[in-house]
Amino acid sequence: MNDDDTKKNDEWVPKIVAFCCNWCSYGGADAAGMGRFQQPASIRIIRVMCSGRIDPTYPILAFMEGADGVLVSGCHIGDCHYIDGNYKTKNRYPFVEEMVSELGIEPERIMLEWISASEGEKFAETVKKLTENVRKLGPSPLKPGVK
Amino acid sequence: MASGNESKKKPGNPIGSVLVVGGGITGIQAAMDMSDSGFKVYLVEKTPTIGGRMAQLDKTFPTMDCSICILSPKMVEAGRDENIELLTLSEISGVEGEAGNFNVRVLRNPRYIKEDLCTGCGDCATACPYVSQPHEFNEGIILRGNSYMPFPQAVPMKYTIDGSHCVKCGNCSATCGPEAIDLYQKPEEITINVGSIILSPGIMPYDPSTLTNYSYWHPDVVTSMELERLINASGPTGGHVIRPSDHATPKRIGFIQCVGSRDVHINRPICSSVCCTYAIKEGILIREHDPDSEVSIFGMDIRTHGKGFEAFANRGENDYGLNYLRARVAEVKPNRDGTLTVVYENLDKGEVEEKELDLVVLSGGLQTYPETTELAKEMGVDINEYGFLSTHIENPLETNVPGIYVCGAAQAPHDIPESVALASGAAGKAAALLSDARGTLFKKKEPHPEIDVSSQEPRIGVFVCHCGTNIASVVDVQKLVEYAEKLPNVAYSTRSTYACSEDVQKVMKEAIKERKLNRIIVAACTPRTHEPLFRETIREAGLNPYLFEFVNIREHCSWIHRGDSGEATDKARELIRMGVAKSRLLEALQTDEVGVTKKGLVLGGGVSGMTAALDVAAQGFQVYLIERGKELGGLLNSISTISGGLDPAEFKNDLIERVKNEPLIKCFIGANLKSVFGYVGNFNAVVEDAGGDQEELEFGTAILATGGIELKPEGHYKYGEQKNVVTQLELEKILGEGKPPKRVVMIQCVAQRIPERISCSRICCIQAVKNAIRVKEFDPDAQVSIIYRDMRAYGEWEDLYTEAISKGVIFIRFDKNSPPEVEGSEVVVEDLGSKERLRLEADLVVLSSPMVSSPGTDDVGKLFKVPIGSDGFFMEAHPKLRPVDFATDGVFLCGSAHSPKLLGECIGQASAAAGRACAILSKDKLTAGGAIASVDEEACVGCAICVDMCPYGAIGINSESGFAQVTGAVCKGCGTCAAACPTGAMAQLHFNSRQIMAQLKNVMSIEDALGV
Repeated sequence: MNDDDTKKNDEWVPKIVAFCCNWCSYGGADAAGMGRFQQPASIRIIRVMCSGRIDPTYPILAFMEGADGVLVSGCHIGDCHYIDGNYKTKNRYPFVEEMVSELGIEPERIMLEWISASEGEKFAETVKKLTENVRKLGPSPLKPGVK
Repeated sequence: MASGNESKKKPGNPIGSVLVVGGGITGIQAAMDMSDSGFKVYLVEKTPTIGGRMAQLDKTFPTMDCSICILSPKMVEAGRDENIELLTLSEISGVEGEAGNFNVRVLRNPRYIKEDLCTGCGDCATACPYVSQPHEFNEGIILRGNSYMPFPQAVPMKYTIDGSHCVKCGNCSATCGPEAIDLYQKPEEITINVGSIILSPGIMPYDPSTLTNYSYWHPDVVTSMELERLINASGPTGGHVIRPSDHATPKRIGFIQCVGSRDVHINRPICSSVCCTYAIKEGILIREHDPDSEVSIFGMDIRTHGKGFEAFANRGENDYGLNYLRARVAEVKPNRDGTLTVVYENLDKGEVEEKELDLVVLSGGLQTYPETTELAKEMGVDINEYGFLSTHIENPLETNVPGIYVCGAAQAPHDIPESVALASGAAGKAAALLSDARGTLFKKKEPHPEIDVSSQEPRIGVFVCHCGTNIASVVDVQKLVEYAEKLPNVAYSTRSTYACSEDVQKVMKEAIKERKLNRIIVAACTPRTHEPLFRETIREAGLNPYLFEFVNIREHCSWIHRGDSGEATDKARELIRMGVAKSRLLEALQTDEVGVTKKGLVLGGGVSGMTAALDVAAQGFQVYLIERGKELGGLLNSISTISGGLDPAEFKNDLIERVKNEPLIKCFIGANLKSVFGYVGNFNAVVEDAGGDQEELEFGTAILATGGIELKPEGHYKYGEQKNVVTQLELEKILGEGKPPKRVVMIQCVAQRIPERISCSRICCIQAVKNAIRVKEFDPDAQVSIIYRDMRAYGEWEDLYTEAISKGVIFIRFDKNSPPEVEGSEVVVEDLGSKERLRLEADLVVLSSPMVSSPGTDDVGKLFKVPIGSDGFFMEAHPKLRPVDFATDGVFLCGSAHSPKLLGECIGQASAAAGRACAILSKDKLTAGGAIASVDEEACVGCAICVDMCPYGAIGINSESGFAQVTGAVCKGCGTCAAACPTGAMAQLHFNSRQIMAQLKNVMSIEDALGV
């Protein structure tokens, strides 16, 4: 992978909050590092033990705090370290999406993705895709100073 | 029974340690179970890392779990365990002594890298100019340098130098920051003293090079192991299956089964048990990756006899369009246009056919390593004619040498769950042998007086790591240190070349003391590997380990933003800011201890239950054995013969005798459990005997061995209508009473492998073959036919199948869509091989009806709050890695309560469940607490949403207070209850909402936070 194909100079780098579970998606982010899969510097990961810990209000609060995008990520369905925590995430996610649109935030700013600890490349691709989506939209309408 | 009694003899003054040979998943499990039971473990592995074959697999069947993802946490845990000493790159050079006291000489081959200094940064690998060796982990598909780590999740996470190819150019030494490289290291022999030895040397796939008819020399003919790497996202092709000759995407892929199995010509007559299922798995993966591809599997039978495997095979056929061809392959012919032609006999048509393919996968059988033979010789352990370590059916874990146990696929071809179960069983056996020495060599964590920081203002120390050049070449570390200093509550900020090195731990401890730091942050690599190290360091300095916070600026920053140093530094600053924000709110978390009732309960008095009870007693614990029937013995009471020369009546009587003579076992016959309460270590139950008398029992663990029964196949093949139609168990009764009739026709897959009951009952093919041979033994002129769909004589049972054929038993295959018909004393069937409609005369029609779970299994499930699968059997915690555990701690399962099983398999699993249960019973206290859930009673409204959310049954509503109550010993700290709590009363400690919100608030720009 080419180092400079991830970012063109002076391009705006959005702030994206990623909620990752310890066992899979945080591991996937680690694997992206180990594989040196270059990504835009947009992601700030908040580690939780299980994606089932991700309170559906957290993504909303992330936007309220000024995030331009949010990634929710856990183990693939069936792989949960805590049996079925990710099913709960899956069930709660539509509520998050609904709330996000209620707030007037474009649905493209939020993403749910199952990423395993070995899927470094997938993690990097997810980051790139979400960053690209958010870049097209510009700063979040809830960001301080943005109309 | 000689071997049974022998195993009960305990050595005087045994040594409280054990040697485990082989660091695959089996060895890891055995080592962890031994350590968990209070023994010191030496885990010897000949390669640079533990993990074995499972680490190489892409996914595991039938759940399609990512293999390394479920294995890696176990590897890390084993690597960290203070009582497991990993001896990698090592081999056994000699063994002396006897059960209870062995001296083992271990040859430690040089790594040429000092493990204590290597930080796993990889600079040496980058520096090595000689990338010319086949990468073993990737099956030689790509090359590696002479300095390498087999795979990123390796444990120990250290590099290795390939001494046989390294030219000692010194490039690596020159680049290695911590000066870990020593190219002149010498092999070293050490002697270790252990009480017992567990052999888990594992298997390797059969090498097909010698089978010239399969053209393995052709680049587009690959082994199944090579395919695993090709299909793996972290493999050499990034998960894209390619045709190696031209890197094109193959459209037509064929799997050839039984390569090196079921082949008498190469003296490999037995079945390898796992290849059919893994081929289906790989076929599904190929189809998932490329829906336009076409996958055929060429096999004599499709043997998917494991739990849930039949449904998996059906999915492969129906949902993924895999083409299962009942076929015997003659050869693979390369064509001029680059394609391959498979020539095979189509067993469904009785014709020779050809099929053109782009990629051929050889499903290689399992064989033991050549070193295993040498090891066995050195130890005096018997191996069987196929190279597997010999055991007896009634003792699948014991070798002929007392004190040496065996588990995993080196005992016989086993899949992962069987191997893992046997590992726990072998550990249980070794623990029983050494129970008098339990704890004698076990290292307990040294207590360190803890400083109470609850009333102190946070004083945070930040350590930023260069990781050699890994971080520092991209991120401006000095800037980070200066930035961190300005953040609120940061009292000290510094940097170090390698934060994980021994000297920095000292520096950290001194800084905590001198500067009165009460929170520590390390900004370096990933908490997934290094958090335990730093937590331990601050613990030794008197801080609660939960006052540590990790900031990942390597994997999540410097390694992925190599092109823009400025941006990477900005991001690292923000990550540190988020870390400091959370650190300020960290709380010291305490672990509590709860007592353990050192008694076990076993439910079910069949062979599984009795074996489990005896094994628990052998470790010195009291057991309650509860059987609801009138007598012990279970299904053994209905069996007249067992293959392998074991007399079932004698075996059963011996077992019952041993149970009755064991003073630690208290039997309740004709009794039922009325209620069960409590949690791991502290259960209590009420048992009621036949007379209605009740007794209250207290116990720490429970093993459910409730078994299965043969289904009465009413409505199938005139069963119940015609007197000459019986089941296999009814035939056993006839065989027990005397001479059977002359003309016997058996029908397989009765009332199973059909839409109403999808699963395969696993045992019926072998039972039918065994009974057919028995009939022939009574009367060699008897006419015995077995009408079947797939003959699932897996593993070494293939021998029995061959014996039946040689004794003249006739095997007739039918299509599932045209099943045979029973008409009076005739069975009419369309033979797939000859395409003829046969009319078979039958004095007796024997139906192979499935084993189903015992009636009442549902009630037991409710009593213990454990789940039951759609097949009616109990559902284990994880089908691969926790085969005898329930998700509910302290409750285990074994035998046919898990799924239909043969005698030896029940015994192995019963020992496994007993071993797992005893690990708990061996502890005086269980640790509870730490980062678990916690209830704020002020806010709790007792709605009980959290109770339903908890996958472990750790939460209940306190009947007095009406509030939610967390059982610390059961909670695993996933936090799903906290996310669901509508009032915010439920918190997950260490990941509570205030802490997460603090991180969130600090995500935004540096200017906002500092006002810079």
